[in-house]
Amino acid sequence: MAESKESLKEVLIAGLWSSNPVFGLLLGTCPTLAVSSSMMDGFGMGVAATFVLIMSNVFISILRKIIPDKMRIPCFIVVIASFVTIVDLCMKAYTPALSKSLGLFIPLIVVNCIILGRAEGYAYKKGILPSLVDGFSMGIGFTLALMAMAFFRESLGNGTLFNVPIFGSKYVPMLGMILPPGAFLTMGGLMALTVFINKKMARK
Amino acid sequence: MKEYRDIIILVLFAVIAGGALSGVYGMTREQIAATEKLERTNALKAVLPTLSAAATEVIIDKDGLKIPAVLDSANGTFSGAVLELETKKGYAGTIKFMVGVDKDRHVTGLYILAQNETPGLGTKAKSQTWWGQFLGKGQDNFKFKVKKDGGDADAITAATITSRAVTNQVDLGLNALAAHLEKR
Repeated sequence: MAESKESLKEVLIAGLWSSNPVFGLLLGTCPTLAVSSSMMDGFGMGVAATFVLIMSNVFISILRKIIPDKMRIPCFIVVIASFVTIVDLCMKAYTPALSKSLGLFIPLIVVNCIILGRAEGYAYKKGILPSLVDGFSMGIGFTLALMAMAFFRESLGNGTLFNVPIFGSKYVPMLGMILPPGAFLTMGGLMALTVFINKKMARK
Repeated sequence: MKEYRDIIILVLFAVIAGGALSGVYGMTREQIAATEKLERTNALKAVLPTLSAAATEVIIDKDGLKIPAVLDSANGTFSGAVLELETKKGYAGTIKFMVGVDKDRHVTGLYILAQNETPGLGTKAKSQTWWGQFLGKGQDNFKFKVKKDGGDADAITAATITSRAVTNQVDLGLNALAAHLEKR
């Protein structure tokens, strides 16, 4: 495959910036809004989703010749749900605190459109290596997006980063930033910034 | 014939995935149980450091409400207890927590086991900066109600519902314990 050779680096950059799952493709906005109120949650969610993305992309790419076209969505879901359950069980066993604070959002990775989107749009058509790179870069892109959101929300809304106070005791937290409205505001702001930078770069 | 093939493949997918999952479940089951048990043990220690190994688990029945508790009554005298309380009156679903009391039924600690309160607001109930106000307080020297309801407890800013739910449940628990001890 000639195209896969030059595109590996592009694939990597695509997930991180140009088609970042959250700010570029507008996928997975639901978990992004919900789990970005603290850096730790954002990081944990990102890592869990990255693992599921890589594994499901690789497996679906390996099995893409076997999976019947008509039945592909149920097959994807079975593969994705299995990995999500594995992550959920492992987190419950080894990182109980994180699993508690993420709660329902880990099982909900199953219906995260980033993962199904990459399975359907990428891994089902491409080879194993590009799929692995794609899963990795999309996952890291998702993690970075979550943490960028959480950076603003946790610092402004709670006066902390990774639960460490950063503004001193006099700072009055803007509670709204932790609550859902803050999530929408931050997301809108960051998205505008992304578009702005992209336009600037295109002009050059 | 092609349809059959598709179905067989999907079934194979499900079977293999199911098998893999049951394997992972088997591997993590003991660890999960151990983690949960450890958390419970730590929580018991945290809310009542003096809890002895001789403490017994009981169910306190208060007007049909069953409250699991660990009673420490070595040599027949009551020396402390941990109540496992839960309330559905939180801002978002059930709050489960433990309260430890000493021999005078004064609070020695509080530990939130499970909650779904608003991050950054209701979740502050987990912090000792809030529940610390209950330390050393019992029903004889403290009114377990938030100030808005005419009690002595400070509510968390912007999380009165959470504060009220926990505080009222502590009150109920202490009442139940008092009644239980009297009955003995």
